[in-house]
Amino acid sequence: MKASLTKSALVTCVKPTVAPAWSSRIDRWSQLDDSCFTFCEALHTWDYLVGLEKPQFIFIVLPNASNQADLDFVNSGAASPSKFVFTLPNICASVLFQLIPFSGRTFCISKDHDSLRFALSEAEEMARGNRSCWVFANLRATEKDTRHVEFYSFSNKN
Amino acid sequence: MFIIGYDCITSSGNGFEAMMESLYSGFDNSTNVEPDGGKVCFLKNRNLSTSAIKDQFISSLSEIFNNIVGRLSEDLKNDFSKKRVGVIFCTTKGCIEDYIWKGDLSTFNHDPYESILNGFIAKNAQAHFSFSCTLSNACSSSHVGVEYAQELFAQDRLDYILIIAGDLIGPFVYKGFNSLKVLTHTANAPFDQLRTGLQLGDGMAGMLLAKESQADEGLKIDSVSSETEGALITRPSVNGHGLLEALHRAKNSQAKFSMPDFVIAHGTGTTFNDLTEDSALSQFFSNEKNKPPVTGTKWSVGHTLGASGLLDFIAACEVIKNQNLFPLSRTTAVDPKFEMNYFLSNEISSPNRRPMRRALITSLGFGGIHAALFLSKRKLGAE
Repeated sequence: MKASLTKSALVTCVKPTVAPAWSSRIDRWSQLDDSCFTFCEALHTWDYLVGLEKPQFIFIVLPNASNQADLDFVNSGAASPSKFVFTLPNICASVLFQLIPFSGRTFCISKDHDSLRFALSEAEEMARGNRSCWVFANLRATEKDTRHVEFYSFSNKN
Repeated sequence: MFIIGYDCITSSGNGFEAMMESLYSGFDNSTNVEPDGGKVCFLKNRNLSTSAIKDQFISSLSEIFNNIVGRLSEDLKNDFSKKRVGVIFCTTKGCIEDYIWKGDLSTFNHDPYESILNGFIAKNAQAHFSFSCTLSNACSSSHVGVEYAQELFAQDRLDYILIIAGDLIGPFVYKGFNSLKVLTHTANAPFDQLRTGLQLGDGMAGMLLAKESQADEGLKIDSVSSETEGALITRPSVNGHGLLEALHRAKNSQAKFSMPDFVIAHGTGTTFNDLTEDSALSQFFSNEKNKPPVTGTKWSVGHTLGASGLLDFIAACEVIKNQNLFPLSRTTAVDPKFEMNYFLSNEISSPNRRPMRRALITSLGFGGIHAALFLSKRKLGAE
């Protein structure tokens, strides 16, 4: 069983000087870390996801965990509450769900460099068991100040 | 799914017996951390240090696992050694202190969880784990780990699943919570009208679950469900909607639901957590003439983040075994806005008029995550 829908985008982490089009839908957009910001940028261009039938489970995949956000918090003097909250990997889900919108069961799953392959494999297994799943991944890119944002949809209707 | 065994290491000592002794005796294991004065419950011989976090995770979780296996009957040990076994690691930020302060991004290519999980698996190679992963869903990580196990069992992918959970409090976590201004400097008093915030705690725990059980009676997880909502990042919805949704989904997934006899609440002692939790619970129990007593563990062993749910599951199992509920010992006057029946230490008589067979354990975390788990003691086939 393969994903019925996949999307991928290379997104810049550099925040614009003016508020992005989606900013009014996000709580304090300017404080978002790189992962959450690039998720929002990608989702804004994939706004048809809003109209899709919502899945039973969502997997959030961050192969480097939140290492960059952790370092940002430390470099800020470890005193910034807004930077601290983004060190939790599952915060991405809360931000994503303000845009989709969605609420439900979310697995912030991790297996180091194998995280995405593992999450896709798990989503396939879930779909075989009649569980519809979406997978959102945010991967470090080789290009400076960019990240890869990926989306996959699995269901037993595939 | 059935609870086959469990153990933990907390600031009260090694073993679940030490934690229960603290809870029953009303002992608060916290100390004030200088210079800020925030409260933390440290494991024995630990302080706010950054050294050897990974080693401590692996050795403590291995000790817990060996204790669990060591208490199994010979038949169960034999069965466990032959069947499909998985391990799920539940944690948040309490495992990054070894490297995060060194500040070199080039060393950060790996997630911090996998090396701990791989170290644990290597040290316990005799268990032949055929499935492993980490789930990091903030303070609801333990609930979500068991929720994932529920799915794995439902799809008949494994026979046994070991849930391991842990977080250790170092400078990163302490400074983070301090920056949020949610740490108490006095007694941690969940649901009190004068509550002043949470106290953090080191904690490690393990619970072995089985898809099936041949025992005549035992402890069973009836259902668990989580709910993540797109809401404010550090505050749950004040009306309790997210937790209420998790509660109803967990309730509705049971063929024959019975209301719990007691509740172990997340109960951090922060203004918004306790307000949300009371709102959700009072809505869930709105038709109950006698609302079940509500208690918690964090006033004694601290908020152990990713491990907090698993410690609360263990405490619930022990309450059912002992038929003795521990109180919220540091709470003296419940917030008058709250509607639930909080069990305080100044109550002389037992809070229950009925045997304690069923428990509800709730959880709330940053990022809009809420979770509820129902467990019970029942005879096999009695559903």
